Amino acid sequence: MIGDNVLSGEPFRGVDIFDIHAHIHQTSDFQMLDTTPDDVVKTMDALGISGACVSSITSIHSDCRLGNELMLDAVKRHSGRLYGYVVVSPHDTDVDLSRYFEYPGILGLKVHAAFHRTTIDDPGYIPFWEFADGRSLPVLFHAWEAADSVCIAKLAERYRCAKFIIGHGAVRIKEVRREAVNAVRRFENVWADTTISLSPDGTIEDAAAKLGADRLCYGSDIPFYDCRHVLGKVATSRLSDAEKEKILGQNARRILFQNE
Amino acid sequence: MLFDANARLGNAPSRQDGEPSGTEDIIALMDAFNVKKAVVYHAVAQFSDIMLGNSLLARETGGSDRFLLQWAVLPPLWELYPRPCEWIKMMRENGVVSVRIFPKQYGHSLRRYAAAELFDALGEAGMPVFVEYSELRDADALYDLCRDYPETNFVLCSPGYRCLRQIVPIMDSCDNLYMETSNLFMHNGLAEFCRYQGAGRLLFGSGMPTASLAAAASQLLLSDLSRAEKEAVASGNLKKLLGEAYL
Repeated sequence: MIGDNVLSGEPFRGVDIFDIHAHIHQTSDFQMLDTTPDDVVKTMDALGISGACVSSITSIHSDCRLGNELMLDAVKRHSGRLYGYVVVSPHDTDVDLSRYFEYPGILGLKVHAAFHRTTIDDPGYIPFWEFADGRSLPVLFHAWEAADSVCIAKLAERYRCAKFIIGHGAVRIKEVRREAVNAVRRFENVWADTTISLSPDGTIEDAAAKLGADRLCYGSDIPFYDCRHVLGKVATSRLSDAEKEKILGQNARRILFQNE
Repeated sequence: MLFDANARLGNAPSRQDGEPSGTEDIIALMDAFNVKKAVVYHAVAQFSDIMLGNSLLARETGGSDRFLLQWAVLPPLWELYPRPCEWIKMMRENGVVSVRIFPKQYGHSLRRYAAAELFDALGEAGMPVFVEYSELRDADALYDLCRDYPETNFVLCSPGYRCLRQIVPIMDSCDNLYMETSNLFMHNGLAEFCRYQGAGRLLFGSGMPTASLAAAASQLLLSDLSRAEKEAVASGNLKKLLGEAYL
């Protein structure tokens, strides 16, 4: 059964694990460890993780364009293991996004409104929503507050071809989770991920019950967090192997690679 | 085999969807992850009534040898609470071998003028003092605590994934500081910590029920630590700190 390896400390085998919410690089806020693309891939190798879609923390925390260039380089160097989100900012809308998507490993957009000192309903994001909608691209959000999921639901209603992923929300505290669940249940083009630093046992089972295992994706936030803890929570949860396979990788591949 | 250095029984003011509740849920999780014993304190002692909460522990664990009871304590105040020497006597009679403090929740000072009688007595009795990082004003308060009471061992619980710049210099300076691993979730944090600091002062803990035993166990068991390091963190260090005789 999936997760039986955890107690023995063995890597995962025989299950496709794809991390839909990962990063590379670092922030000045606190000391992070092993943040390079090579470090992230090394951890993936050690645990048996097939792939991860990453965005650059440099893009989120300081220089959007620089981080995206570094991300593109990392995705090219780790082709087939690392895939990329282009971070977009409403403070920098004069950017040629199509250039990034000429490379097949670039799969979607990443939005972190809080660190860009704004909110998801900032009109400056509109060109990016239109871009994602026109290409049926996934957009991964940092969705820490209940209001974020309310905004995402409105976007999902308007931009039906884009695919919206609520990062963190489905496993956060009660009121945040409620809105994330509402958004996922109302719109077929919304999913949620498992990314969280601290949540109780039972969270994954509860999220899967409320969202459906088809709509929840494994995400770790590596290297902010050690990917082992959420991976272990999903793998050792009381869900069936079929449900775990969906959450750990199948859903992510369906969302991210549909356009290939 | 794991020994959990940080778990709580009883009801807190709020709980999350899916969160385990009750001693039976905690035991079921312990069984699933091969946790032989868990150090437990009581939510009532944390959030409302320290004496009542401490007394509830024995009732709710029913004498089970799966639990290592941990009482919450306060510095003396008039005759409202036992004197530290009385408290230690009561704890020994009840098989309690560690204590927990909530200086923020209870709003008490940790300085010598207020707390010397308590912490000196606990140090002399060999009873380690557990405290969550969020219960301390800041890292300087932790440093002062360890320096002011050098004969007393302190266990920092739930330090968080952002703690390295604050905690590492204190661990370098204070041999009486240990760190519990729940929420120590920085990438490769356990391996890097052991590489630079050694494995001797890390204690495996879950933070149940608000944090996840599955997450904490997975982080340790799937880590790159050597077998000896894993055993030390998983149980060996806690056994040494509490005293093998009690375990």
